[in-house]
Amino acid sequence: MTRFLANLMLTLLAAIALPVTASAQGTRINLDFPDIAAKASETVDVTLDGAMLRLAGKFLSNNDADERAAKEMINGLTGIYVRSYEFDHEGEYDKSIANRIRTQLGPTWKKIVKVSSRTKEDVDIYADTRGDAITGLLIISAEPKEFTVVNIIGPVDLEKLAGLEGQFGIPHITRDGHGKHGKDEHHD
Amino acid sequence: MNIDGTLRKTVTRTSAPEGIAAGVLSRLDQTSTRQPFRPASSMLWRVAAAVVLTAALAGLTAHQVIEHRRTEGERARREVMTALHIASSKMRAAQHAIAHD
Repeated sequence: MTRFLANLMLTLLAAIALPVTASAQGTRINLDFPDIAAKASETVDVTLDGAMLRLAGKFLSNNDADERAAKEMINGLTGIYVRSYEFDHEGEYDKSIANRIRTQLGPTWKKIVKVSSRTKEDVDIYADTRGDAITGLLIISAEPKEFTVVNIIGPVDLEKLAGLEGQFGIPHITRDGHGKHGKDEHHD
Repeated sequence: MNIDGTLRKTVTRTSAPEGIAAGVLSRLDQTSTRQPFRPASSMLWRVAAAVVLTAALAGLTAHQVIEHRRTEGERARREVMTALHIASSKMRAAQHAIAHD
């Protein structure tokens, strides 16, 4: 009887703890929309779960500054999902797709950045926040001929993430619009 | 019987029983025909070949597993760099737009 009660308690604890742990890790958003992919002229599809990120971490070099920064960035993450579609002509994709993504966001998701432009790109950035901690990130970027969505699951340092671009040898954009190159001064 | 008698009996030369030589020779013949050397050696060769083949197959499989893992790891590394590059560029584009507002 005592053993039965102990087992029952353990089962109940597991039933309570598992969803809490899962939600603390952030949630994966469904980014797969075959209709948009079919119209795109170029597609970038990155799907990296926790196991693949750990594997990638073993192959990222400590000697290369870009890779070292990336390695630090992915430490603790449980998923990175990117879908980027490029189109030949403007207005070739359904802009309501961004809403289809937004509707999946739960109450813990907060919009932290919204940039609207009639001619350039609209960027929305959402953070999945638990207390002070950010446990997930969603970036939706809609340009006339390009649509990109990024979902990162796990603790994200926004400053570090934004700072990576300069590290990856891509110019930092300064206020006067002139590029200032990153550490290697090389172009991709 | 005293010790002298025992010694004398022991060292006295006696003839072997009749037909013992023929018996020994016939048994030797039988032994050599029943247990030929060649089959035992052939079995050893087979076992050795099986061991070598198994080791080679195991080595090949291990190599393929390692190679597959290396390919997967390299692909994951490239994808991480691509994903972070895209995410970072979008973050900075937003920052840039906000800074110019």
